Formats: sequence, structure tokens, C-alpha cells
Amino acid sequence: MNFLQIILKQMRQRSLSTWLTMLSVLLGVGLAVSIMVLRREGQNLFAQTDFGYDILIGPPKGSPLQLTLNTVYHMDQSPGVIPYALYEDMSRKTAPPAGRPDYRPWVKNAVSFMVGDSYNGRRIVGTSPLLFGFDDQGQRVTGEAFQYRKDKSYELATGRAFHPRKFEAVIGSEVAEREHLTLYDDKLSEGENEKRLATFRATHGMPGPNEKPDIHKPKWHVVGILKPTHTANDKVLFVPVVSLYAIAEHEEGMIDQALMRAKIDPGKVPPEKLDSVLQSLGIDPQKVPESLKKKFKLKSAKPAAAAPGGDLLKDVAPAKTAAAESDEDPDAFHFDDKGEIVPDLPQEEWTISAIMVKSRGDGFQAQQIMYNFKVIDDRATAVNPASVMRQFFDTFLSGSTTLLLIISAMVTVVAAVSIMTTIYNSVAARRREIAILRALGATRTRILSLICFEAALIGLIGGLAGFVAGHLLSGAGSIYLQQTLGEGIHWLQFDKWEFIYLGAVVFIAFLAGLVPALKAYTTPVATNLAAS
Amino acid sequence: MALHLSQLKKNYTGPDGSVVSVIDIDNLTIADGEQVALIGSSGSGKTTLLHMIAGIVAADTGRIEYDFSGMPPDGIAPGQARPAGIDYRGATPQHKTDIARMTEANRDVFRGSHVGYIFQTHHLLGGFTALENVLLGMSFTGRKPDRAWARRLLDDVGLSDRRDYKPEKLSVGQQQRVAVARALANRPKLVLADEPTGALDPATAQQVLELIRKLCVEVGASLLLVTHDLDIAHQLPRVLSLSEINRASMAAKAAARSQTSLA
Repeated sequence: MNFLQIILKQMRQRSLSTWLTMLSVLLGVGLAVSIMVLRREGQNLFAQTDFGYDILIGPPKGSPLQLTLNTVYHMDQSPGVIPYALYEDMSRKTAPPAGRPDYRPWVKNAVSFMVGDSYNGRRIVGTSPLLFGFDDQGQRVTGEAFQYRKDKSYELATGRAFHPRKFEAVIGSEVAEREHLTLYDDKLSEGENEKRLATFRATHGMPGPNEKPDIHKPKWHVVGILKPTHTANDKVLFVPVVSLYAIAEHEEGMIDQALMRAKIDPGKVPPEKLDSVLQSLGIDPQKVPESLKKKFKLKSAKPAAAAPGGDLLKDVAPAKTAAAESDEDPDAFHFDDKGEIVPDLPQEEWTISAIMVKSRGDGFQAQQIMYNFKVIDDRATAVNPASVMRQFFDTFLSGSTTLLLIISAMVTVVAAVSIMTTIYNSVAARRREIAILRALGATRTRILSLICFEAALIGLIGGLAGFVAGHLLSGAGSIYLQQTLGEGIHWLQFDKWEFIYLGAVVFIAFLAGLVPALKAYTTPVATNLAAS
Repeated sequence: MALHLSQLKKNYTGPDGSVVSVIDIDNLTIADGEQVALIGSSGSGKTTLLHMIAGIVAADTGRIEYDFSGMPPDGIAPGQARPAGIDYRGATPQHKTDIARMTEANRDVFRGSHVGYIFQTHHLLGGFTALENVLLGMSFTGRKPDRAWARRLLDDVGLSDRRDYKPEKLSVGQQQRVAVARALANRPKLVLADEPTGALDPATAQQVLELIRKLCVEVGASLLLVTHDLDIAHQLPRVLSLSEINRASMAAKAAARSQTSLA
């Protein structure tokens, strides 16, 4: 019998206590390894620097973190809106009209990003076909394809990019799979396509479980399904940003926002004064769709005493009609002769949630853009998503995971103590066996190393099992992240620290074995042979 | 291999600090291949003497010489490799090796290689099968365990069908036979048997005795068998009474006698 066989035999002889000790090592190591993996891969996930774009432009007063989480991970709510005109300025490929800024030297490409609606709890994002590498004419752009990650562009698994002014959608791979949405078939009737889930309607906002969903009237046709990107974007339905302006509630919302900014209660604006109110806000009343005007009139307050102060709100006396209770959205657009959407909402009133910008050059242009929105242009704020996420990790995740790591180190020490206790007790119960081995020719040193290696072996086996368990636990964490963020972590990835830790666990176990080993070392042979 | 003991002494210190002489032997020789029975009453120091000969207990003074003269040049029987890394501390295995001058670790290794020990109770390890227990006897010599020889020994002790049984599944007699096989595992030069039949019924005791004697002859080992059973003792060619060779037990006896006469 060799050394290892003797150790294994003796461990098997006390299998219950051996297994329980290994379990305690497994738990300690599993916890520590999973924290190490989550910490490392979480850092890679959140503090990634390989974004395909280097600047996010969002509302001036929004939090950079909220903007980044909302745009990159589709988490949290949009911090607000910015004018669509800004996107036009930034994405312009030709010389700007007089009075408009020229961002061309700085911007390589810019993609609009608009949120607010959902389908079955999945986010609908209004954007431009450039996201998928197509221009507004449906032609593939060369050399300037948008990248969601460095060197990674969206690819269509099937179908085509949407038309920028039609109710068409390109959906993420996970949406297609989970919601069973299929590609729209022109040869089939609208009804048949609806049945085979090739069309969908958007729900306003993201209603809670007990809220009655407000489903918009327009129907989008699924014209493209993306290949998996293994990012949060797989859970998203992309539609043309213009199609979102064709929804009455959105137009209303945008005018609402304009009114709110001016601190005007739309419900109290008398119909005859509506035009002047809109004009005072810079909105051309001629361009406001009738449907909206009607809605404001209906919402006007009942005849009442004039509100104190505020010229606009004096002499408010519109009548309320029964139609005011109607929930049905009126159409807020029409199709032009080419069948393209023309929203009733004037383009000056269009807003978007964010712009994803890839700057030109090596970072200088990016800094110029950041500086521009920090100092010169106060319509928006520009952030670098990579540095925002790195900061988020450093200030929040890093600290808390360090604490967890310390806890797991303590759990490891507890596991080592449990190895020591178990083996110490077993040595006490094994004095006769040790004496027999000595009588058969085992030296004290051999007995010492037998015990220490047994402890190390428990550490190694428990440690390896813990190593596997830790990664499986991280895998579970990854599934959770995948479900919440749309992006998992590389839970099967190892790094040297894990192996160093595992080595340390085995070494600590070996040391823990030293205490009982010294006891065994001093076990007198003659008395223990005689004792039994 | 012959064994020579000379001027061998061992004292123990009692709990009250008094020094008690346990072993005090002038001279004792066991010739190469000789089979000797050692008889003595309880507490006469039989086990202590065996422990000292085996190197389990260190002698206070005196010599315990294993005489390998007449053995092959390095004291290792034909077919056996010399144990690696053993420091004999100047002893020459070709001639005489005084284990009383060895360190404890060297005594351990020497014992593992040259001495077979059979205890009154089998002292098998519970987690190991019969075969593994025999192999365990070969594990501390620095040589590769000889599985074929281990199997052969179990065949010889009549346990060919019980090789894979753990001790708890064997009868007391079978357990002792495994212990005999284990003691012979390294083809020792000397087998020390401490009341090997003490826990067995007469018929089994006889079988075990015969096995021990036969196997010692087979491997060319000398045998020193301690027993208090005269029937067993007289089956061996030479019977020694410890009370006659050990001055310590003579003194103890004299003291006991004087106490009796005073009473």
C-alpha cells in the first residue's frame, strides 16, 4: 500500500466525519470562489471598456449612472429627454444648415435611443436603422457600422432592418425565442400575420403587475430578428424612433412636458386660449394635430373662478363633455403617398431619451464632445459609459464585494479549524491504529506526514469541490444577471487568484493537520498497543 | 540471523518517583533460525523485553545486536532490495547491528524491514481488508509491496477465500492468522510473538502456533515466542524462563518472597 492509499483508506474509515469536514471546506471555498468570480467578472461586465461607442448623450440633469444603466443595460428608467434636433445635429453627414452646430469633425456615428413603451414587459426602443448598419434608405452603410461592443455589430439572423418611417420592428434574439414572435410574411393577410405573432402592439410604459396596461393602437410588423449578442439588447424590440412619435399619447406627453416646463396646467387652459398658450411655448398651433387640440379642450376644467395669478390661466371656462371619458387613442399620424409615417407632432417637439455616439479619432474628439456639453451646450449632458460604470463598480460594488471576500476568508478559516477539530478528534480515537502503524515500521515523521497530508487532502478535495460549486453558484448568478440585465458573466473563466486561493486552502488545511499530527507524533507506541 | 542481548537494562520511574528495574539481562542469544519460547508470569517484563528487541522501547543500557554474519553480504535476504535511505549509524548489517545505539527513527525502519511482530490481540486495522492489512506490513520498508507474496501468505494461513474481508467479518482465529501473515510480510529475520495464542481456544491456538513455526522456517526467521501456556512453550525446541535470565524479575521475586515470609 502506498502513502496515498493508506490516507484514503483511513479517510474512508471515518467517512462521515471526513465528508462533513469536506462539506465545511466546500462551503467556505464555494462561497469565496463565487465571490471572487462575481467580483472579477462583475467588474468585467459593469466596468467594461469595450463599448462600441464612447459617449452617451442624455438629459442635462440626469444622473450619468441612470443614463448608462438605462441605455446600455436597459435597466432603471430613462432620466429624461433631449431634443430630437440634437440627434439630427450629431448624426448629420452633410454640412449643417445655417445656425446649426457642426459635429462632423467629432462624431463618427450617432444613433438615437428612445424608450417608454414595452411589449409583454420587454422594452421597446426607438432608434435608427444605422444601429443595424443600414441608412435611412435601407442601404448598408460602409465602414461606419454601429458597434454595440468593440468590433461587434448587430447582425440579422433573419429578415432585414426596419424602414425608418414605417411601423416595422427588428427584435432581439431572446424576444423572438421567448415571445414566439416571427417574421412578418407579406404574402399572408394582416390577420394571419397577427395570429402567427408577426405583429405586436406596444404597451405604454412598463405597467406593474396590478396595473391595467394601456395598449397603443399601432401595430408593428416584425421584419428582422437579430442574432444573439449575449447582451441586454437581446431582450429588446427595436422600432423606428419616428414610429413612436405617431402615437397620440406620446405627442400629448411631449406637449405636456412643454407645458409642465412652463408650469402651465393643461387642464385649465381654455380652448380659445390654447393657440396662444402653445405659441407662447414656441409650438406652432397649426402643426399640433387636431386630435390633440381636441383632447386638451376636453380636459379643460369646468367653469370656475380664475386661478390666482398667471395671465394664461385667467377666465378659464370650457365645458366638459362625455367624450372626455373615452380611452380610445386617436390616430396621431398619417401616411404619405409612399406609405411612410408622418407624425402629427411637429418635428420641433420630438424628443429622445439618449444618443449613442462613437467619436472620431483617439479620444480627443470625445473629450471635445464632453467639454461641449459640459460648458457650451446646456441642452444635454455627455458621459463616457465605460468610466461611469467603472466608477459605479469602484464606489459601490468593489467595496461590498471586498467585505464579502473578507467574510469568505473568515469562513475558510472556520473550515480550516473544523479540519483541525475533526482530525484532532480522530487522532484521539486512532491512537491504537497509530501505534500499530508505528509497530509495523512507520516512523514518527511518517505518522506526522500521514496526518498532515490527510488534512491537506481534505482541503484539496473539499477545495476542488468548492471550486466547482463556486463556479456553479456564479453560473446561477449569471443566469440571474442574464434575466435581469440581459447580460451574464463568464462564470467558467478562471484566473490565477482562484488557484492561489485553492493552494492557500490546501496549505492552511495542511497546517491545520499539524496540530493533531503533533499529537499523533507524540503518541507512545507501547502503551497504546497494550491499552487495547 | 542471530540475536545477542548483553548487559540489557530497562528501568521505569514509578508515579512516586521510585525507580523500578524491569529488565536486567546479562546475556541472551538466539541462534539463526532458532525457535525459542519465553515463559514468565504476568508483569515479569516479557512484553517490555519484546518491545526492546523490536526497538519499540529504547534500552537504558546494553546491547541488542542483530548478527547478520552468515547472511548475504548486506544482510538482506536474496531477492530483497536493500531499503533506501536508512542510516544504520555506523552499524554494519553484514555483521552486527546494535539497535540499542540507533535513533528511534532508524529503529522504526529497521523493525519494519527485519522484525515481524505478532501481538496477543491481532491489532489489525479495521478499515483495511485482510490483504490490505498484510500489504500494510510492507508499506514502511521503502520497498515496493509484494502483492503476490501477500496473497501467498494468506493462502498459507488458509485465508485465500477471505482476502477481501475486513477484520470485523473474520473470526478471532482468522484475525490472528491474518496478523501472522502480516508479521511475515517482509520476510523478517526475527519474529517476535507476544502471547499470539492467548486469546484463542486450544484447537485454534495449536493451528496458529504451527502456522507461525512453519512460516518462520519458510522465510528463515528466528522466533521468540512469549507465552504463559507451558503446553505451547514446550512445543518449541528451547524454552527460556524470564525469571531465570532477568535479574530484575529475580529481585522482584525475592522481594515478594521476603514480604510473604515477613507476613
